[in-house]
Amino acid sequence: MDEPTPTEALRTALDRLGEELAADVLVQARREAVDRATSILADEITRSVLDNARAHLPGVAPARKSRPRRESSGAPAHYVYGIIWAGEATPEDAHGVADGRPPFAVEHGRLAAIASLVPLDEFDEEALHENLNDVEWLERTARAHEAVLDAALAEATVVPLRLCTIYRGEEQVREMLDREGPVFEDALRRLEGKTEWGVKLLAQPGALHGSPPEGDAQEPGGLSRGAAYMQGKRDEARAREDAVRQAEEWAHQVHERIAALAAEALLNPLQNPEVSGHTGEMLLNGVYLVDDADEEVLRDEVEALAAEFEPLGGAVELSGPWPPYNFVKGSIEAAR
Amino acid sequence: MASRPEYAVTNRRQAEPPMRSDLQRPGGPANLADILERVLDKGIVIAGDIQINLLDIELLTIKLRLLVASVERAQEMGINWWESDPSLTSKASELEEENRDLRDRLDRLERIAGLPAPKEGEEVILEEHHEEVVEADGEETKTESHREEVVEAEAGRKRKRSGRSGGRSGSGGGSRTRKKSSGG
Repeated sequence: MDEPTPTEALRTALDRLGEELAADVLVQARREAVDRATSILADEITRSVLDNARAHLPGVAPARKSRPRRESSGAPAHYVYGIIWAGEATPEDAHGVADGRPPFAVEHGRLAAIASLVPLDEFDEEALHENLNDVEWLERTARAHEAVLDAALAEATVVPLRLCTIYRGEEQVREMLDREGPVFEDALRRLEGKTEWGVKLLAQPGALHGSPPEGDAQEPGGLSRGAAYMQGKRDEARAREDAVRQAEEWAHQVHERIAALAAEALLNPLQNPEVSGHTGEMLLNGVYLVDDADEEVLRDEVEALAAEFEPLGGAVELSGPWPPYNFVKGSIEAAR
Repeated sequence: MASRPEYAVTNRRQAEPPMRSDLQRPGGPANLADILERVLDKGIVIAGDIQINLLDIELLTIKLRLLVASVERAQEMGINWWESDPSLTSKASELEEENRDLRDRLDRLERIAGLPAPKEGEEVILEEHHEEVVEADGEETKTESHREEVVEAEAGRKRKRSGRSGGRSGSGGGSRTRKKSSGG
């Protein structure tokens, strides 16, 4: 009883601290951005200095800049897309990431890697550093990577690898298959007969606005300007809360119903309209590992949900089938 | 299937023989965000001979744009698993998030206090009188505090001075708690 409002006092203190920290954080972020930029520039300069120094050393082959790039492209590397059981069909008519060179299988024991040849002048460390930051290159490569795996998926269970997993030669691919064998075998067994699907829920603009502000019912002269302002603020806050609650309910409903018919379900971060090109607000970006036998059930459920949400201003989107990108991590953890 | 309700399906099996195609709407190529989300962030990550750093600065920006742009909505909905994703818990995103949280809290505080955000060079004086009377076991404890805050906005940075005074007294009574608070 001696300290009457300890929680309030604590909150006040915390809020004050937060307020002070906000400014500091901005200052710190700015400082770190400068530091990072400085360090990147320093790296570039270092590289340039080293290249120039090498050129002046007698008997030492000048590195990078003066080295003709065609030299390294003479020995193409192996770009690996994913892993399948040995003996499964390889999507040989698909177009690989480099000049559409077709994929082939590198078999080792019970496993096979789906690979294609890539020139090192486009795919070595130095080139990738630049290419990965080139949005057009990134899109082209990501789509090709995905297209090869898609084609493989039509024929077999496939364990997708992350973009740009590259080996110097076939021997290194075999070594990798040997080293990682248990992980891949576990994943292939676990994913057998299952496919990844994506379900999104989007709210059309305006669909989420809660009940209209009660302020409208007030007589215009009934409130002083200050009170009307406060009332307006409160109404806005309430409408925002209502919209959030509604979004939560919708997303929960869709996720629960799809997850109920899936073997595994995960929520991914909501996408930015700028990148994904969708209209309206994304409320759910779920991924579901579904038994192939249940594909029709999944489609029916998505249709049912779409029909329910359409009149409310919500759109339910199904994408797939996808290689099970989102569901291979569990296998790594299980095997290690 | 004309009677089926309208809903969007991205047909990602167009290259295949027309299996189940009666159920699928011919769609464009898959959404780039969907593909990037998967090929950059998911899939098994094993060491290749070519060491690549997918967290190069600009790419990190793409990732953050892709993944964290709608973070506010996601957080409101309690979805925050990516906070534990080691590839995303870089200093940058931590700071960005902390920053946003703090700014949100500021906004909220200002809203609750009914204060417009102070403009540059503007001085806002917040006066708060707080009185609490607790009556228990035949004794009444009265707490009063007075707080005066001066918020000055200076070149986008807030500075605050505050003064505080308080007192406490006791007297007899019933058993109830009364709270009174007034702000101005």
